[in-house]
Amino acid sequence: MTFSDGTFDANIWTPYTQSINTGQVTASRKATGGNPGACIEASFDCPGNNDQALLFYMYQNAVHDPATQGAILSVQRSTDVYLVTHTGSLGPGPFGVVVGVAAMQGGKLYFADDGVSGPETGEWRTVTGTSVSASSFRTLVDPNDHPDFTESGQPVTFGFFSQVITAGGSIQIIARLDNWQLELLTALPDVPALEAPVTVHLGESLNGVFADPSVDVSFFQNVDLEVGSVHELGDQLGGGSWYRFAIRDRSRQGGIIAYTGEALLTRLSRARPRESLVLVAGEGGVPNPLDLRECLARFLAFYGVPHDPDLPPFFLRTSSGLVVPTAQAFVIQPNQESPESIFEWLERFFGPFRGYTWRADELDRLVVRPPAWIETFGMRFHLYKATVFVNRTTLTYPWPWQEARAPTLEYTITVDGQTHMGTTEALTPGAPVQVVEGGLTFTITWAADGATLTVRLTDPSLFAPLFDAVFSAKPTGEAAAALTFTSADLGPDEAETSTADSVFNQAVIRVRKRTFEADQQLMQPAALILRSPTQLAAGLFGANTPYGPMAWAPDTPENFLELANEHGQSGTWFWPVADEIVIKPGGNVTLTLDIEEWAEQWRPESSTSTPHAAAANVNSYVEEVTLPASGAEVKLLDFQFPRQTSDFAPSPYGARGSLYGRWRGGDEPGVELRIANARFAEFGYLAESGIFGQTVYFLWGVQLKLNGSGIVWTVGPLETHRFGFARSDDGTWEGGAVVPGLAQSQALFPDRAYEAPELPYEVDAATALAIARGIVEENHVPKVVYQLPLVPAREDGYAYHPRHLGGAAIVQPLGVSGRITAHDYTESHSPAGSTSALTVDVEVGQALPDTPAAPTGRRYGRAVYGVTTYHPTEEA
Amino acid sequence: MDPVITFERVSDAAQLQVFGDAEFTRDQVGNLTVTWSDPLKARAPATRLTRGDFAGFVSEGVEQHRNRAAAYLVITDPGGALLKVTWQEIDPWAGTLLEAQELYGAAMLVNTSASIQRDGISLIVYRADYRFQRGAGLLEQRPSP
Repeated sequence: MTFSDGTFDANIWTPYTQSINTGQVTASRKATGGNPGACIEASFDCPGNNDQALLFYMYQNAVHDPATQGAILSVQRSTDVYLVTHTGSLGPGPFGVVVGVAAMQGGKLYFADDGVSGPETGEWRTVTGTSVSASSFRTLVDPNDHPDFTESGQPVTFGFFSQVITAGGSIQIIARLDNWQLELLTALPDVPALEAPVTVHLGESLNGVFADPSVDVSFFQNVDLEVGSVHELGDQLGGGSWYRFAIRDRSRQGGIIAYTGEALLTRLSRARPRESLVLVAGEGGVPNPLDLRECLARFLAFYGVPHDPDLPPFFLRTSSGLVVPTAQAFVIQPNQESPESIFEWLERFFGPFRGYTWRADELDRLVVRPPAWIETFGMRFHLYKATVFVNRTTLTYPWPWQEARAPTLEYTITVDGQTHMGTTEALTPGAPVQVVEGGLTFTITWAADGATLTVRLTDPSLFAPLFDAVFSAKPTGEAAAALTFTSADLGPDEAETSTADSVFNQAVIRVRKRTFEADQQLMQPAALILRSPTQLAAGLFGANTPYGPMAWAPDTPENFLELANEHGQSGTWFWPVADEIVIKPGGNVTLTLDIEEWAEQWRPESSTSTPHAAAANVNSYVEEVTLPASGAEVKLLDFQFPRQTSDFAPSPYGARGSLYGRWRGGDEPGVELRIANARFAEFGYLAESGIFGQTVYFLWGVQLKLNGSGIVWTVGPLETHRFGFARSDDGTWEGGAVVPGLAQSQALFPDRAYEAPELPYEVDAATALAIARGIVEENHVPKVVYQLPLVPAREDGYAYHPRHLGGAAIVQPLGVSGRITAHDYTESHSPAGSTSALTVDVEVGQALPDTPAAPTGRRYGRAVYGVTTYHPTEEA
Repeated sequence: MDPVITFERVSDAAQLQVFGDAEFTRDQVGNLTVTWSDPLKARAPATRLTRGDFAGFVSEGVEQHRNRAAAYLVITDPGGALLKVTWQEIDPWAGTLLEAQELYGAAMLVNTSASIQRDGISLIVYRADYRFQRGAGLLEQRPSP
């Protein structure tokens, strides 16, 4: 048991002083001047012979009860001491301040002299005392009075003391004390804690590009956690957190409570926002060109998804280099009736980018990890000059790590049949590096902000020799470096699987073109006519006479869609979007309402079936209101119904009514109009001859002409881009692509097409085809997956941490490198013993020749797979 | 000279002491199995120990668990007890009692037999730092040493 303190809060520390003869001591806490921060400064003054002054500082938190917490075997402390001044007839001899452990039991102060601070001044010294037991303690007056540290002893409070003694002279000392620490060695360990888990199971597996952890833990019944509460699970050995999760299920059985947790991605699959997000390149502050990282950053910020702001750029690799798609527009337009979840949007968004990893980190934020192959294979720049006109002399790609990890480039340059190879140093942002080989000079520039990497032939003149150059850039630095498993890390019985299910040798990408125009007519103009139904005139003793219905019977205006033309004062009507408008995302609908209010007079002496005076248009007005297309109902207006009676009675006798609107999306979009809270009748005193008149009734009717406008998206046809379906006579695929091995892959694994859902971003035809090609080239070989049981061989346990998921891994004993796609950890404890197991899945990206992973690839080309992606000659 | 075993309830320190020829077996978990032949609950005058004497000391429906911190927990039906069991085995060579051993746990009777020739009782003490009682949610803990 250890106690320590360096702040000396007056609420926790209690000082006492004792002295013999004329010795004196005063002490106070100083906020500064410690080692560092606060300290205690003690001022001793012992002017006479055989003077003693004693200062005790007792730490109220350091209380040990031997009866319940076990007997104390020994005590050891350490204190930092600083002598400020040291004067008097005795100084500066080998005298100093005595410091040691103080104990208080039953109101009596004991101290044990376990060390002396020397006479040096102006220097902090850490003085560690020797280990002392009860017999070393004494009181000032009686050296044989010891505290009782056995189980029958009373509770003991510990602290420190400081003492100055004179013998044949005077001494004045000012000393400072700081960083007190005390260690108690008690008889036996406590009863082991009941709070530790009985079983733990953690699993995380990449499903497509997303990984969601499954967290299952069980405890004894005293650990009773509420469903919905948030907890963290971490590493007892290495420290640090692994997951933050909310408890979703709790089940108690046989004295054990089992909990299942859920993390961010599960939550995102339930979050179904209705708000639209529309980004158009170059409009409203959106950059042009619009890259997918920008789209994602704005998407996550807009929908409030917690995420690591360090998002990577998005690209796909093909044999002719990287495809970095840029979008002309990005449209998230939820179905208002059954909105898609954020997770579904992300899946649609990033399904094609199969090398990336999306997971929730230990802070439960979304983290996107760039593809692991950049770490193992490197990002490849291919420059060449095959003829004067077939050449590529400059290439710029985004760099995923910004300035955090510097790239280093390996190169193979072939000029005039001579091959030159080499490696550059790690680059510095903004400082170009030149590579000179075979008479050619290449300039490699890592942009000053670290965002891009450019390789360029410095002098691409017409007379430059023919060449072929491949540079592959790999990141340096530790931040997320490839995890290397040695044979010590691996348990026995690894399993290797490969499945044709992982193969995609055809890809279909669907893109929809959209154009938008503001202030367009959205809705067919519509009319709604409502007139008062039969009302009751209040009469004496319940003799209520019915009046109406309103006799006014107008026609629906021509060319207007009739929503209603009827007697009534409330109801709901659906006003559909005009036929030719297919879709209306986001923003607002502007409704123009042209309103006429008509009143018809009825009075008691006239017949109850005909009005006294015909209906007249007493009020007309035009309102323009904005209806947000969010699916929520808003109040558009209150009808005015100006008073027709001269009654001074309050408004309940007047007519009233409100109009509400709600945008309804879905397959049949439109506006739901609702009139409610309405009474289309007015009752009051009408002065007709001076102040003389009588009680009359007015029945009201309204005629609404409605028009709606807003931003119109005209949605073009769905364009489908296919790759891997057509091959020309010269063996090239769509777009003239040379993909060795693809034909063999299709022969071996027929009908393996990746059908991308409609992309939420709009790209041009060339980019769409390149995305399709990228998917095919990354996936046309079956992935070999190694399931590796790991053993905790490292100093702090397993080599693997959950944050490594999706990252690159090198398995030395098997000679393979790839990326980690899953992990599964179990731990269980029973009276018979404890077991724990960790398995990780490594998807092999590249197998070294003549290693166990090689054969599957070699079937129609491990080498071919290599050629497809990395060999320098496929484009010649 | 016979081995002696003492069962002491942690909750109220009530004791039951048993004398008589006994066989002690401990398994790898630390659970103790005791098998008596002709056990006595008092020596002079000699009083025979019967199953009923264990009432209040033994538990039923014992389930034993352990967690990562190596805390042993038994879950018992209502009416059980967490016991401090102290016993002295006999050294068959020297014919003397060995040093006392101690174990916290919940005891469960597994077998009693009686015949004209002899009677016998056997019982298992499940090692436990804690006893949790079904239903009531009562938790007993062995004292810290």
